[in-house]
Amino acid sequence: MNQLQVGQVESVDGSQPPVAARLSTVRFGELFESHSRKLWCVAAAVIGDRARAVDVVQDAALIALGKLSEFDPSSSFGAWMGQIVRYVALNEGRKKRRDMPILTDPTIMDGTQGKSLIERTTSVDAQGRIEGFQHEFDDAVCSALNSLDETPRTCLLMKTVLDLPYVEIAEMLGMPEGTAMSHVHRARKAMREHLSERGFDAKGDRQ
Amino acid sequence: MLDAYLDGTLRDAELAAFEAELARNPDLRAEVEFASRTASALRGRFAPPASISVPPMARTRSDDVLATLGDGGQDEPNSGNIADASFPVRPASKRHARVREIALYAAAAIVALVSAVWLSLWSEDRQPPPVDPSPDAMYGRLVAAGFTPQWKCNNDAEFKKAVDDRLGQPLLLSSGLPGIDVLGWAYSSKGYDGAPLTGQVMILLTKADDQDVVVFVDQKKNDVDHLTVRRRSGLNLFRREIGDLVAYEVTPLPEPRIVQNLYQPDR
Repeated sequence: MNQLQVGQVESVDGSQPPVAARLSTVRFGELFESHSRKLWCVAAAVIGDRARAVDVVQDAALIALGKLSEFDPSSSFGAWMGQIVRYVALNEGRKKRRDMPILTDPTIMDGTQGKSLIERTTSVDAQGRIEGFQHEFDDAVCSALNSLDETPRTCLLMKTVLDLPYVEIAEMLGMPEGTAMSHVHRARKAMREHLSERGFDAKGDRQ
Repeated sequence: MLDAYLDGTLRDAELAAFEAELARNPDLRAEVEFASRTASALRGRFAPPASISVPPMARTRSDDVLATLGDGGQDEPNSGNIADASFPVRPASKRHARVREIALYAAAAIVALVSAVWLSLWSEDRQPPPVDPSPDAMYGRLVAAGFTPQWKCNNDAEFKKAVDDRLGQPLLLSSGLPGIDVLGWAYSSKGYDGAPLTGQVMILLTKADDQDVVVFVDQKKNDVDHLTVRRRSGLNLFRREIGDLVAYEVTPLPEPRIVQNLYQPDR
């Protein structure tokens, strides 16, 4: 069976790119850095965790370096690297899910902390203040974002956070430009509906 | 129109018309404000780092050694290439060239040794190699491994209990199906890493008309993104929900033979 392995780029005749056409590690480093914010966005969208996204992207860089001979420099670096980041992030997400305790009730008390697990996962800054994103509306936005499928979530984040043109999002995610645009528009609509269902009015205020 | 406005893709005339409408339509203004607040919340929550560098360990590659140690490397057409890394040295005195060559080889060997040890330790501790989690890739791995189950149920009661214990809902396959042979179960966490869905997915290996057919069973809530198979794999994918479970059948056959015969029995 013809399978596409992680990082493998198929050429038209199925052959490897010629040696002279391969990417140097120096050039890889340059391309990687220039794409790193986009790659970070892909990782953050898949695993939903800003801090771990950096680790995921760096892990993906090491894997990509090991497979550099398989990359055809005439193809899209962003698409190739984005695919690797996505796989690494998916594996990371699965690992996290496997490591999570199985809860029958999210308010189960944690004996070591004397707090519920939900309380313990609230983010606070160094002074113990609840971070800005924990405000009610921002929480609801994050919840709405997590309700989206991975692909529209990634498209929306790349568009909103990095303000990327659709052609770049499409290239990174290996899809047509129109599809990327459609994902973003549908994601915005789904977010509005999600927030509306949770009692936020058209201005984003709690009704 | 609102999306085009938010995307900044409206042309001048369209933009003027939209802004005129915005000025007189409070509902539209509210929508724009809402979108703006949402975007602001996302940007606050997902502020990206300025840039991310390749981690230091990766810089132990031979061409980086060349670049660091001085002349050579970058001036050569094939330098900086892992696959055919050579250590070109510009003409100097033969003695100096020889010393430099030895130094480069020695440095490269030390760096390679250290990085190999570090990589092996690091790999074991932190980073399993990524595995293609798509159903068709998993199918390929199962077939390549001999399509051998890790456990076989001896009767319906065992089958039902196995699924109930692992996924929280009993499940049975209708018995006496013509052309169907149930081989047994494989588990994603025991030798078949990288399975679709989650680490708790159950993998049922069957034969349908002598063709290898795989069924992935997991809790429906774990089926966030519906699975797909690549067209060129030549495989077909069929999905069915059974109570709180979801089953995907990966098969070379044009029709499903298993999933429609799965059902939820009483406990």
